[in-house]
Amino acid sequence: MAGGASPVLLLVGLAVAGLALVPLGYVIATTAELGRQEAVDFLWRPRIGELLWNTVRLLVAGVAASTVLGVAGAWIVERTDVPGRGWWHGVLCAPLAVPAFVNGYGWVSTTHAVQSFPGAVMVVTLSYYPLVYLPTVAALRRLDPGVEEVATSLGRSGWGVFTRVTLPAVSPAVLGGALLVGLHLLAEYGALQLLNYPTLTTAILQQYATVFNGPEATLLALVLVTFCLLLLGIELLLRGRRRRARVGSGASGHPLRIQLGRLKLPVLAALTGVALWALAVPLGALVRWLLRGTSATVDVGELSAATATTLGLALAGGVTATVIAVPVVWLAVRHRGLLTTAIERSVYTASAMPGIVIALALVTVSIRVVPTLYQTVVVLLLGYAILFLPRAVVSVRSTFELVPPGLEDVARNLGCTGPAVARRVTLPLVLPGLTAATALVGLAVATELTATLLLAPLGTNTLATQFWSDASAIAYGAAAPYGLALVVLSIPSTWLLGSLSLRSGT
Amino acid sequence: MSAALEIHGLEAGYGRTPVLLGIDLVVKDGVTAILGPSGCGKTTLLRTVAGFVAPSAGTVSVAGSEVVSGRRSVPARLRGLGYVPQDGALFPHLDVAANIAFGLTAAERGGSYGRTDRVAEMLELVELPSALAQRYPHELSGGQQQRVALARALAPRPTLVLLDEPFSSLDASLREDTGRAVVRALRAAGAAALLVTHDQGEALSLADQVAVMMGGAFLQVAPPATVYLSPAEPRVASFLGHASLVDGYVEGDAEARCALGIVPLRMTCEPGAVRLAVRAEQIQIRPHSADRADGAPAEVVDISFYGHDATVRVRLDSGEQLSARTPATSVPTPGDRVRVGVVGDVVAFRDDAAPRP
Repeated sequence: MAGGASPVLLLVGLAVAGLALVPLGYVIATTAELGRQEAVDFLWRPRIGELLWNTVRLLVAGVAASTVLGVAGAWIVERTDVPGRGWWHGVLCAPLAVPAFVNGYGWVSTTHAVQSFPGAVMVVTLSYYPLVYLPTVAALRRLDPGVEEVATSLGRSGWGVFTRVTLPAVSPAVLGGALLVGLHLLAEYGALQLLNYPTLTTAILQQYATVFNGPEATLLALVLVTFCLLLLGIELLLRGRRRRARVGSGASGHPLRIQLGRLKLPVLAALTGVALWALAVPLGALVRWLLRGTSATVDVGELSAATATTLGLALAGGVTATVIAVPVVWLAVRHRGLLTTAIERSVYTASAMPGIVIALALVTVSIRVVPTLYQTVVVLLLGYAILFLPRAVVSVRSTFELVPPGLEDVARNLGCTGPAVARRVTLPLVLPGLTAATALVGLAVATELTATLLLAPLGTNTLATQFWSDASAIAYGAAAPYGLALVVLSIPSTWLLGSLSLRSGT
Repeated sequence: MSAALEIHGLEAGYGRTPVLLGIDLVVKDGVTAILGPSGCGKTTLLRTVAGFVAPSAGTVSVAGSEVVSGRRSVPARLRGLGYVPQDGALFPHLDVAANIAFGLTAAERGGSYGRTDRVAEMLELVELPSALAQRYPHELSGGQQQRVALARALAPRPTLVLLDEPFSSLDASLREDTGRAVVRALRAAGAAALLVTHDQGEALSLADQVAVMMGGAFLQVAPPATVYLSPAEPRVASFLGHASLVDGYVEGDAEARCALGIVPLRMTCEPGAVRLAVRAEQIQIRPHSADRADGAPAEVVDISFYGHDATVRVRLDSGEQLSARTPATSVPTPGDRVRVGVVGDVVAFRDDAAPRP
């Protein structure tokens, strides 16, 4: 089965899988514990109906708007002759560097008009459309231009080529991006709380804050997870029927670019509008509050303490997730088998788990099983590990796949033992990739809010939690420096993702 | 009746790099192959005709109507040309029937999308079983994909089909069969074709007319036998069929003297220094003997054995290196002393045309 993997490695892999499955297990176990009548009584209330309605309509409108904006942006950058394409690509990626809760703060502190359904849709769309934009750009780059040329030579106009050939061909990427947006919307807490738009997730946190760990929060978490799994199911269903096998290697030519002509100005105006709405408003608000500074002057001591804590946690979280990811990937890549594939898959279940559910699960499990760990950094780091393991596994995997097994065979042939092969061949080759994975996870940890709020030991203040305690107390001026620091911390990973999406073209 | 394609003085380039330097070509009917090494501009020429590259000068007419005139040009989608790119570029999300029906109008497609007589007709034309209609591109072999791509291009009844190295991704055995099937289908459909290729065997065996292209210009446009047997200049001769170029001197009006002895000329030539193009299969390797009539003395340098025949490289005692193709039954070994003779007549080029190194 897992041909030749050492038992120790398999045990480690199984342990990681077990850790990743804790949240799912928690949801299933607590549901089984609850009495049926109790659950029905709780869920069958107007308040829950309102939360569901809010969540569903935000989900539908947010995903739809993000998809339209993301695909339109990608198409303009990759398929038209709009001036300054490289610049616009950067601008369209940039909102990723503004965490959604910072974006929400920027808007709310500018105008209270956004505390409404349309406002919530707008803010989450501006924060999350890059999740559709990036994979779509990458897919458009990979697409064989010959396919579009043939459609043109068969008499289709630019719009016809787009709807009948280009869009179906990139639809898996678009769908994947839309799914990510959906999962993020379901998990979003900070932005929606600031916008005063109650959803399942904000309600869970409120329940948790008032009655600590009551069954209500657990039930709501169950509903939330059900939504996430439904979303995954829908995506699988839609994708299953699509055929996207690229036929042949394709000539790497330049795609045809649509001449915008008279539409050039309106298109430029629309792009500028997106840039202003998604970047200028939140960043402008941060700078404005920083300069005005009415609620507090910048406390340099507190700011640097929070920065140090954040960086420490980011490093520890990044290293933890990456180190845990390595055995999982090694098993899946080098010892392909049912068991090892199952281990890798179980890690991905966490990507459907909102941070809040992971946090609730860890709180419950640590209190019940290992009370000494409750309210310690260990649990917080485990939470980060589960939350970001899917991300770590994806990037670690891509680096391991760059090392052909042939190289290891050659090394063994030249007389290296197993550990020597790892030390002299594999490790030097994957080390840059592992570093990048650590950095990527670390930066995500640094801007994580929801799980940190629940799991951080008392007195552990990160940039995100400090920003949150000030912003939710309407101390906008005090929050501004932390918000700016969060944006600065997010810039490197945003830049990396933006340039990766372009590289996949060649 | 007007020619399927007429090109005059066509120039094009990418940015400031000129790629096409004044192309003239007339395709009346049948298959015209554009043959040249990679980077010679042949794909750019095809894409200019298709409308994917804007030319900087010249005219292009398809079936008598002008599609390019200087900087004015008809958009690609209105040119009504068939186009088959390198890998076929079948639409991966559509099945074979829908791929073939893609360029048909709604009326031609009929009620049930893509299941019309025309689709069945096209499948028959490219010699594919009708059972393939419901398959998806990834379920087809490479050769089948190319045939479907041709069927898709031919379905709207174009007068001209453009084929961009359509067989280069197929393996050797499949290439020949697919190539012949494609030419048969083109003939049956009555469409002219422009076939871009770097494979001379493909060009010579499939085309009615071969245009040899190098450095953005045509060196010779003629039927296959003519470009092969009577190359217009040394570059054509050495590109086609691996001719060795040998210095010589024309004495009579049908004979030249060179290191290989006296050789007859295919065409008369004025007396003077010339370069002679001697094809590998014209050079005969004979056992070493004292008889000078057997040819020039030489030494075997190395040998590539192919099975059905072998290429033998020899160095003449006078210094020239030549390649000869010999039957597999009489292959010498490297270092052997042999005599080298020429069978048949050779083509002579005036020496002033191509300066010697």
